[in-house]
Amino acid sequence: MTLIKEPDLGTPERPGPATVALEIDGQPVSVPEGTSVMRAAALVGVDVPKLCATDSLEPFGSCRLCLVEVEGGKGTPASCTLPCSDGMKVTTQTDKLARLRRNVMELYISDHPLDCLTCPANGDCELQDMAGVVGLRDVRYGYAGDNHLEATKDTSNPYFDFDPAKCIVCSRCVRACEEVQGTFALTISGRGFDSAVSASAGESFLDSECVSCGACVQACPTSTLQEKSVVDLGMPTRSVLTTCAYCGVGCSFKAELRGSELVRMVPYKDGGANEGHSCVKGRFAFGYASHPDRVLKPLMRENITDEWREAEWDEAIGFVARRFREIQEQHGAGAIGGITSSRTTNEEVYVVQRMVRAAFGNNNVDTCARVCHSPTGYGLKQTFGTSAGTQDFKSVDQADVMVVIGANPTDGHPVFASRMKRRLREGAQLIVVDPRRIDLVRTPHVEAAYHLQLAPGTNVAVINAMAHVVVTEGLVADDFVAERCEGFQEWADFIALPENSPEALAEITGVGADDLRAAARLYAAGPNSAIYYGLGVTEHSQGSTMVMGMANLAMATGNIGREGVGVNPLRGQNNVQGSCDMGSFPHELPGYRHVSDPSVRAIYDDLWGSTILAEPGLRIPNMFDAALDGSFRALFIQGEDVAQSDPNTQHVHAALGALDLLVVQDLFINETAKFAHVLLPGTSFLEKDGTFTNAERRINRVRPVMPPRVGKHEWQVACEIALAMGYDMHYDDAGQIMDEIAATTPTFAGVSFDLLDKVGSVQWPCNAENPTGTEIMHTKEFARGLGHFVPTPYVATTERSTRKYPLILTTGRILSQYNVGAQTRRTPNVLWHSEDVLEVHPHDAEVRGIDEGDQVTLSSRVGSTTMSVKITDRMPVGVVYMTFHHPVSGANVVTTENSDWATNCPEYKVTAVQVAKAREGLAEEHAEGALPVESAELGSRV
Amino acid sequence: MPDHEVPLVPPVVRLANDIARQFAHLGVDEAAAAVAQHVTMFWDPRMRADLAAEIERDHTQLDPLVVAAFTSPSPR
Repeated sequence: MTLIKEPDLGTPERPGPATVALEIDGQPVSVPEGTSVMRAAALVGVDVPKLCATDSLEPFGSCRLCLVEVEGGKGTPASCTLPCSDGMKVTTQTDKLARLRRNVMELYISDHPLDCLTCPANGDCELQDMAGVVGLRDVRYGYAGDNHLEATKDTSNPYFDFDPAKCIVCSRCVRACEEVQGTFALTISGRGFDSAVSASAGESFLDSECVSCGACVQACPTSTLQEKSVVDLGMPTRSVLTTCAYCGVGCSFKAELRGSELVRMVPYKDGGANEGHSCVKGRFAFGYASHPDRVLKPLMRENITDEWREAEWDEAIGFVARRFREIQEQHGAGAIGGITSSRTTNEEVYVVQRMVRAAFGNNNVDTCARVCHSPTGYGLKQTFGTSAGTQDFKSVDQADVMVVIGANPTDGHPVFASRMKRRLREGAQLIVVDPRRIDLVRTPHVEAAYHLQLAPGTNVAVINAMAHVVVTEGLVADDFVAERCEGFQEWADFIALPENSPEALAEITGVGADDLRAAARLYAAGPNSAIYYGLGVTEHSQGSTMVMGMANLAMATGNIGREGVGVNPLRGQNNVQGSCDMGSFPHELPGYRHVSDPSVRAIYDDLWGSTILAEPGLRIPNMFDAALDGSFRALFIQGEDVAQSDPNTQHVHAALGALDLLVVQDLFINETAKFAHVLLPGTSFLEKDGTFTNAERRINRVRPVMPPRVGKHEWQVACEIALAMGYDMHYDDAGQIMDEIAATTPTFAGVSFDLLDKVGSVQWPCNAENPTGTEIMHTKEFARGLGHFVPTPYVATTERSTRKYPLILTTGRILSQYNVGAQTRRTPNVLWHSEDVLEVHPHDAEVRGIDEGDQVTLSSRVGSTTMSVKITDRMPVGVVYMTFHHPVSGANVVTTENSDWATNCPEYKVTAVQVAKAREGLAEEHAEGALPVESAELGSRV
Repeated sequence: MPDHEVPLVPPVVRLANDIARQFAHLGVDEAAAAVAQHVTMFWDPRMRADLAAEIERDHTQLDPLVVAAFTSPSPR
């Protein structure tokens, strides 16, 4: 595919029913009211010259290049700021306009380096293009006067340069930072000739508030803001459309290459999830794919204390298959299992779960969603009938009230956060429910109406109290409930109990009753109220209960089934939704159908020639327990680093160390691979061929930008292991796998690579009734028919602060890093976050004699670790917070075996800890891996 | 390094007790049935066998609802 250049219509769309009709250069055109003349012209193929205008930004009217003449009108107005009106007759090209434009261009060029041939943007420069379009042949003003040609270049950002000598002060970067990203890090400082783009208060880009989303680079019409990779490698020549492999937003990107070399990732304007926006990870942090740490050949060893040796694929696969079978013969069919990954494609996940169910002959397959969003699967299925968010991202544009619970979108889901902030700047109200004062609580031009700073572990109490207000103050959407739901009265009787009132629960939650009542009223008033939530909801002992609690509240207020409302999980990884959809859970076949259903098993048994067991298999934490009791002996782990990511590190390490065979497939020798006997090299997203499904159920193509560097696709490896185990499993290509998924999974019935190539992406359900997918679910009826109210009593976690462990630790992620950091730690993103730090309230620091930057020991009842301290009042007194991106600090050394009652999703967000100043040298000991291993391998406390 | 003076119990006991606590608001029969149904729907058979063995061995560490769930005529 050649380089994709999306059309730029100059100004944004103004959707609306009313239209106006006009003539542009004699051509009739009819457009929605409010459309600019520039956009209307572009729609009929007339490109008015422009520099400060681009259709991702509101019109600005500063460059004076897009002048037009209007019959009967005075002067030469800028077409970007001129709205179309009925009967208007516009001329875009006259001698006068041509002369004016040439004069304008002459002034721009008189203060611009004439180094086009050596400029990195040569061939991709709108200034250069416009000079040609207006016919500039001469610049009468020399360089003798004042100019900016010697202005100092800012190369501080690891991904792009800022060269003010090339800046034409069009403000596109400033406006992109404001309108698209919502960070407001850039401004134009000075006046007149001294006007210049400035990051924060004249700081370097690296030191400024800039979040390196790339929106400014994208918007820059010259080479002023330019990717370093383009400077180094030159302009790309071809594009491959694909999908980001970081968070669950699932942004569409143009991978732009020179030959087979990836030059840059550019967000795709037609991407359904991101509509042309990006974050620092997706836009820039792809260098891990070519990092020298990549493992490109299989590695093997007899014992985990041996050195690795390289092997050929045949040998490695033969060994893996033989050992799996030997272990099964010795210890039973259920002694082995597999874990799929949310970082791999739907097709890869599907094939691994088939390998487990059909070749291994058991249901011991689970996925890393176990440790993040498995409660979403359970809770939404119980209440709505299917395990997925209700809306598309675009829906938030219609929200009047947003409730953000246990999520930190500006760090975890930055592209969607930008969309949220845009709507909030337009006047929507925000309620944040979080122990930590996340950025969204107060950020430029956004301020939460209520921040319910609850005590960790009391989510259910808070949501019950909100529902109590709705029920007892007569705020229930009676018609919606009567027509669409069941179980309301039983639930309402429960929720109206005095014990669920804000006043009764205030002492437990730490949230004032007045604020809670006001927040509940605001949510109920809407009229469109939407809930967005993250792992601060799910990773609790009552994670599933909380999901049901939110669903109850949404149903009770009628906030389901239309734009602007809903219950929306913000998925952590790119394919959490997809890996769950594909039958990765041990109790469910693809499409969330329980293994006990004989009619569903028959579909697969007929197709696969298998006998799928009717009983659930082991979940990940159960696998670890079973490994320690000796009934589970071998494990295949695809693209997940459980040794770092899963709770109670000592317990996980002991379990992995107890296995007879551990097979890891990954890009790198990760922490888990330290316990592996075989490491099969995996493919990066740039090499994959398949689909990801994002948090809005959007199925997006992942197209191979380059062939697999390891010689095989991951689904091929699974097929070959199965075949070597005596089970014939074969696909010609990834498209054939999707065809099988579609043929066997009702919600995917209409999905194919052909359809995705035609329409870009679709949101499931995609079937005969919804041939191009479903943006919003439950519009007429719930997936289960009637929405089901489920009483949600608050049950306090058993994890309590004690005299010995008086603080509560909660965890989270940061913008520049991603999960265990295996990818982002191998990029320049480490400049922003080179280590995990512990956030401690000033009071808690002071009473412990801890100063900013001190090394401290963080201890819980299961382990201890060492890290630096950041003193901040983001956390309430008694609560500390840390990120989990670095194995050295190892947040999960201290997290415990406690888990969600329904799904075993770990209770990462509540751990009783103590913090103390570390003795000298302790940090180095931890860095060298001297982690305590003395924990409850055989059990845990009641 | 922390001490581990907390009492230790087998994982299935902890997990079963966690489930039982969620249904404690229901009447005993209904709660026991709910516990049994949840365990049946989501637990690997070997875990269920382990739980049954724990009930036989020493049910004092188990929530009475768990014991009721697997010793009463409730649906398994």
